[in-house]
Amino acid sequence: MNRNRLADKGHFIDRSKPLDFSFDGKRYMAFEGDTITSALMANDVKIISRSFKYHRPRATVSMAGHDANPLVQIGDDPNVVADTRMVEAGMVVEPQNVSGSLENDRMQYLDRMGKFLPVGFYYKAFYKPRGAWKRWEPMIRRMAGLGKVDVNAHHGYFDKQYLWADVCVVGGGPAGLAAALEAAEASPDIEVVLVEETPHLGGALSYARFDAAGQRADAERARLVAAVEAQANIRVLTGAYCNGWFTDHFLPVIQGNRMFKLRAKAVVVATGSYEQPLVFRNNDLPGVMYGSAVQRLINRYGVKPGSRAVIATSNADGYAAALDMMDAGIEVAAIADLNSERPHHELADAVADRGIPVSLGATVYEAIAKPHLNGVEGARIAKITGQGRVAERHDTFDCDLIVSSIGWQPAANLIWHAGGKTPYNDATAMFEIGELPEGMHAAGSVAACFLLDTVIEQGRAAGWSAAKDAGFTRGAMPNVRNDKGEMGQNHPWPIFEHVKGKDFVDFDEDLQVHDLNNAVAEGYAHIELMKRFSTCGMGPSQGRHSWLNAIRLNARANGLSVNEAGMTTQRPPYTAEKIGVLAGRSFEPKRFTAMHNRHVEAGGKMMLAGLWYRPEYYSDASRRAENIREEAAAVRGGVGLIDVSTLGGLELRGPDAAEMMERMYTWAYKKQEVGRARYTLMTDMTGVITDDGVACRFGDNHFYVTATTSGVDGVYKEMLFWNAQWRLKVDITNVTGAYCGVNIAGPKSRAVLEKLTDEDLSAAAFPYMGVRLATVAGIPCRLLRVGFVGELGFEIHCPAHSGEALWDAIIAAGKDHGIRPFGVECQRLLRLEKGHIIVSQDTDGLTNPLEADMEWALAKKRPFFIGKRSIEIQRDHMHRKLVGFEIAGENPAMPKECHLVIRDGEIVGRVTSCSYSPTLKKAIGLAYVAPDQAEPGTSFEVRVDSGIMAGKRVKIDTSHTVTCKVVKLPFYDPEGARQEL
Amino acid sequence: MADAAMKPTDLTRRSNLYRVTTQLGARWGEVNGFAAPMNYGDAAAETAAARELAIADLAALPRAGYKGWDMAGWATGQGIDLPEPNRARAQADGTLALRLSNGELVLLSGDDAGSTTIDRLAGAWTMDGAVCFPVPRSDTNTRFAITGARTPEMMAKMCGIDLRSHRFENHQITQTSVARMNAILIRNDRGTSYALDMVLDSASAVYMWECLTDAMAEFGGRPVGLEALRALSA
Repeated sequence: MNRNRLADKGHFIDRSKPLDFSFDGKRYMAFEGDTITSALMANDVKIISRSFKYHRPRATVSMAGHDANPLVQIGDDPNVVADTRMVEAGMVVEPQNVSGSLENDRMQYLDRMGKFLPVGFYYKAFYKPRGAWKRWEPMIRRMAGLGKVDVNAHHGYFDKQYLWADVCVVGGGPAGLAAALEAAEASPDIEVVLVEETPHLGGALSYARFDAAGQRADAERARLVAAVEAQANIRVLTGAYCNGWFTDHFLPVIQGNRMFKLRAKAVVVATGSYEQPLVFRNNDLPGVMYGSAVQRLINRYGVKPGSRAVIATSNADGYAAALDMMDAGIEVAAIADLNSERPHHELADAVADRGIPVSLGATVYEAIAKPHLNGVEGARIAKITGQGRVAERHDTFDCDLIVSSIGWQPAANLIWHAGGKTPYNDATAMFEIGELPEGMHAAGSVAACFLLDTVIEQGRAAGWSAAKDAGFTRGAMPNVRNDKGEMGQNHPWPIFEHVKGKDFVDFDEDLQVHDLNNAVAEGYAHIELMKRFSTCGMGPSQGRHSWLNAIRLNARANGLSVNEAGMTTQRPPYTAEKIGVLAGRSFEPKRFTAMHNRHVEAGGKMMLAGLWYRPEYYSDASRRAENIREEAAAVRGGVGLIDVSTLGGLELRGPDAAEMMERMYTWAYKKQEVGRARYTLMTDMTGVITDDGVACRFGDNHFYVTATTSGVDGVYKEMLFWNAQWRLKVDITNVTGAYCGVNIAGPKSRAVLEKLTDEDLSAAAFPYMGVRLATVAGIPCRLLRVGFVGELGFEIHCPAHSGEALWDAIIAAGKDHGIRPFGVECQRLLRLEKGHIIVSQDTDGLTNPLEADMEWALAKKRPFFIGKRSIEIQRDHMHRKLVGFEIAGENPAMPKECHLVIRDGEIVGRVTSCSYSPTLKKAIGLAYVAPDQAEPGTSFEVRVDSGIMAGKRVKIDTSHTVTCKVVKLPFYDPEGARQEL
Repeated sequence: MADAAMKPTDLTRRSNLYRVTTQLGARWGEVNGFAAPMNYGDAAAETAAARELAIADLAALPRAGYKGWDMAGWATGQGIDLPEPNRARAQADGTLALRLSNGELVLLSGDDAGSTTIDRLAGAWTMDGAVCFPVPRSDTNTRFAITGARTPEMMAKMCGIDLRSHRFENHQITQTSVARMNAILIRNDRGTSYALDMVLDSASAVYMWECLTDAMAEFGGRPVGLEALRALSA
């Protein structure tokens, strides 16, 4: 049995299931259902953490995580809220922001240096001399940390799921339960989702006291929860929090490691309210807490948080807490009622009946600290003499617990996210619901209603209205009485500044009353400026416990009303959320060609090309350069095989197919013979090159067009876009995934392929740029005699599901000829030797065909193709031209792609491709140069930042330049004899 | 029936998933020139699982597509009972005709692979005077069946469309995104069991299979063979 555990309380815990956990290196016993805080307090652990700035000892204030005090570290999980996180067997919990030991923090001396550390001190102190902040920042971060992030932590399993509801009720307290019931009763067809933050339904009914006998809450909770659970069309999500509101009632609801993306037709916000602190000296000590916190500990977890208490209150809640404490065996030494008149409600009467002394018009204005601030040993109570002022005379009471109940702030975050208005009511000293967005309704204490009967009626009315918004109506809207009762009333000025300070407004940031006053005095008067300068409300609790008092202080300092001072903007998320939850399962689409596993089995080093995986080269990564050279040698001297399945494929079919081709591409296609292929170059409306490929004509009305791997989707989209306007009789189909493709290339390629087909592959029967339908290895294929790599070669396109079988057949047939698979890098080298461009490597977002020296691909007689007009306009405005170049010498320094061409200190171009050609035994490349440098034989300079001497690194020299000489393209086989064999 | 001696590589046409399903213990039967997973060793258990949550690789089942400005006229002339766009309709031989738009038709064979409609239309179509054109759905796409009562809940982890039984009718179609990939989902119940057919990019079959089986794990979903699907419909 824990020292502070009550025998007859605690309906959240299961005493039949004890479990062990550790905190700060010591082992403790808890029960299943305990939170970390309740278990620690049951074990008489007084301190949970150290404060952010002054390293003062801290413990729970709200027992609901409405402040940073209960933040702890569990493994690599920082900032876990101990108030609400359930204890698990074997859990290892560590305190945060501790230097040395939790009990005797080495940095608690900072508490005595407060006058030297005013608000904003680091803005002023550490920015000079220039660069000083870089030295100070690590030190400050060590002193004021919030847990430790393991940057090497493994990504956990997080998930997302869509969810749909007609009505979503957020909050499982009395208002939310009533709202869900009313909405659900509107129709058997309506779908209601009820979201509750804690593991149990009931909200305030699970801890608060609404009557002198203390029986009403349990009875109502049992009734409402049973009714909700009996309703088949209510889905209950407990331990789940709705972390924001987005347009059209799109709600992220986080439960464990899963985020539900909930789409509702209407929303009921029944999120309750945050109890607010009384501001007085030492109000942050362990042992000072809200009445609701004490009630949570007693009634939910059966934990007695002290033995002798002093209570400061201004509403019925404080009296209810007093009764609960007395029932739990806590002696109530005194009650200070901030109101000057005796309250008239049954709770106050019951307290009076028990003989508890009540000081009217008085407040606790100082907590007397134990040594080292490790708790409370007394409270000073004084009469209130004006706003924030007390009489000099005071009474001192010995106690280990100071409890305050002086008001509430609506937990209206979702309403604020949705653009709802909550103006401040000076009469009730509370922000109250004003205007609500369409389809959103509010009920309960978030709507400033605390009387249980009214709360339930308000919930019923909100549920009815939400159901109506969702299209379900039953009967008339339930009546709501106009009586909000004595509970939940706010005191207009619960702030008592002390001459010695330590009167905390914001526990997260260690901000005292004078800090906020000083911020305004220094000119940060606007509420938004005061927030940012002081950081008030910017800590983990995001102002839940601090912002109401901060606004009041700002208003007073500026001579404004609270409404005139205004609120800062509230944005999602409502509370801290893990990045893992936002990320969810990381869906990263991948596309594999049919031959993918054959590449992997052959040692292919796979690289991404869009979503596709392609072999960059084959075999050992440590021999990358040698592998590529050997692959190139195989193609030039024997036979190689490359998977080109990722290249795009489009079918254009119909009587206007040729017309469509001539409008979309720069060349002429109407006269292209059936059975022949022709190069394609696509430009956009500005004349910029966007793609290229080959058009194969398989019939008068049928073109099969290839496109680049990354460009095909854009080409397809462009074709559909234009033909939606032109209305040509042509059907355009993207068949990229339908066909696998291989390119068998090299002087022995014909001999290999002849083993697999009956087709006459001779140059006479099947010439260069011919296309055929044929059967290869029993598979129906499209054969293309094209030569990207500049050798005799055939592209073979076959149905995708037969791709692996085709690959296997060719590899087997080529074995005797030494066939070797080659990868993308080898292909890039071979095409460079041939002077072929790669769109988007050798072109950019501005390159037109004239700059790329591709005027040969422009149809001159045609009146139109997309981009033609723009190209003609640019003819007289040429600023650069793509040329081939070589670099003299056996081991030249080699530029890399995008190294700049410099002339007279000005950039005139850049290198787009450069490689050492083992075939030509020299460095070659493509580069943009000034038009007057484009003549073969002209030299130009390229600046390199890290020259490469034929594969060996040289010393980095940013001023280093390489002289290149323009040569005529192609570098290899200029007559094209090899590819036309 | 499964053929214990058969291997997927015995045949020219291969599902992109055959390595994955081999590892899962698939037993094969020849369907439409493919080795298709007929079961994974316990057809009865698979049938029971298919009522809760299961996935089947239907790459082997015949499928075809036609697209063009007068697809409807041509297909109707060929005897196809065309549904409205985004709806499917079963033909007399069990072939399911999916109308993706006014001008686009997809034909999916029944689980028995016995579609005569697909062959008949392939034989009837000619380029001369064509008003619509074949789309090579057999290879552009692959096909999964996802069956069982928990399918909508599982799919909600990957897809933003409400696929619950009372919101997504039998033979309703949605062309949407699943796990960030384009997919066509067709409600195609097997007997009284909820079922979806997914038609997707064949090159993404392994990716999608992994996403689906991962999402199914929490519900106890498992792969099943064609025999289980046929049993559901029997």
